[in-house]
Amino acid sequence: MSESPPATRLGVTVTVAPLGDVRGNIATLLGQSLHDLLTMFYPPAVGKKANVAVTELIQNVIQNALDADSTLGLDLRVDDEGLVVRVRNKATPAQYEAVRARVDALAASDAPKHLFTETLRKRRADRLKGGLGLMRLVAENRFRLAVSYEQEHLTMQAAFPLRGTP
Amino acid sequence: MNVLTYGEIMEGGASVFHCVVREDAGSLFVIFSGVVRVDNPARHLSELLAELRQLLPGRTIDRTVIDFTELEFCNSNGFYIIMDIIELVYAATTGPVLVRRLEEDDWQQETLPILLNLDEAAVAERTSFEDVGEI
Repeated sequence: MSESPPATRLGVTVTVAPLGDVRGNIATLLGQSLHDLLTMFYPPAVGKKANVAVTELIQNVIQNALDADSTLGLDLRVDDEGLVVRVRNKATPAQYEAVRARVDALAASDAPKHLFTETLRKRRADRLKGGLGLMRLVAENRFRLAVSYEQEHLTMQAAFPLRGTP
Repeated sequence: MNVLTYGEIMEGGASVFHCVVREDAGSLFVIFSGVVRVDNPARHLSELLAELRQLLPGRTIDRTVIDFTELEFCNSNGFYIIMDIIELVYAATTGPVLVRRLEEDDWQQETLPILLNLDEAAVAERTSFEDVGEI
């Protein structure tokens, strides 16, 4: 049996600075554009996953940005091993700790879907904005999340293995 | 076929999302299409909700079809408004509900059942799914 040829390797890096110059829905623009690009080479499901990850992660940055002069960085890599989306932005140590707590809670949960369901219901009761994007990436899209903090910048990573993707 | 009400989301001057509610011979059709990507979709769809609250109670509806197969994307900001619309429809009707959804869409397969509140036995009993492949 012959092995299938390796998948196309694709990498995209986008930097926007200053963040305050953003006009319009940049999360949508990047998510949809990368979806369209990926579906040229990969099954639609991969493009959809990238769209959700990019949209939710960029949206989080826009909704929580404190410094209009700061830089937003997006890096997307995909090959036959997997899809990796990284988003980097300026954040306070308190913001990092809050994100890390959410990521840790998701990683520790053996039922992330249940955690997502409970959180969704609680937040809806108070009509709280945000707080669902990261959970969605894990519970709905099976991404593995990682977060790091260095020199006042938070990097959020969402990774999805593609081995076995039809 | 009688269109009862209609809601849309405008973004950048273009209509990007529609929710059409129609009635035909005792069947109610709630059809979602387009994309939900805006920051605050509830602001765009509050009139639709108000009209549904007025129009649905007391109407004779034997069955309901909720169709998501033309909904291409929904960000997490859109979850509450989808839940609001669904909740209203279930509360105002009593018959079976057929949910049409895309077969290969993580949101529609994984999160939609949560938004439908399928954990509740009364909802689950009334609900069936039709999974539709994308063309």
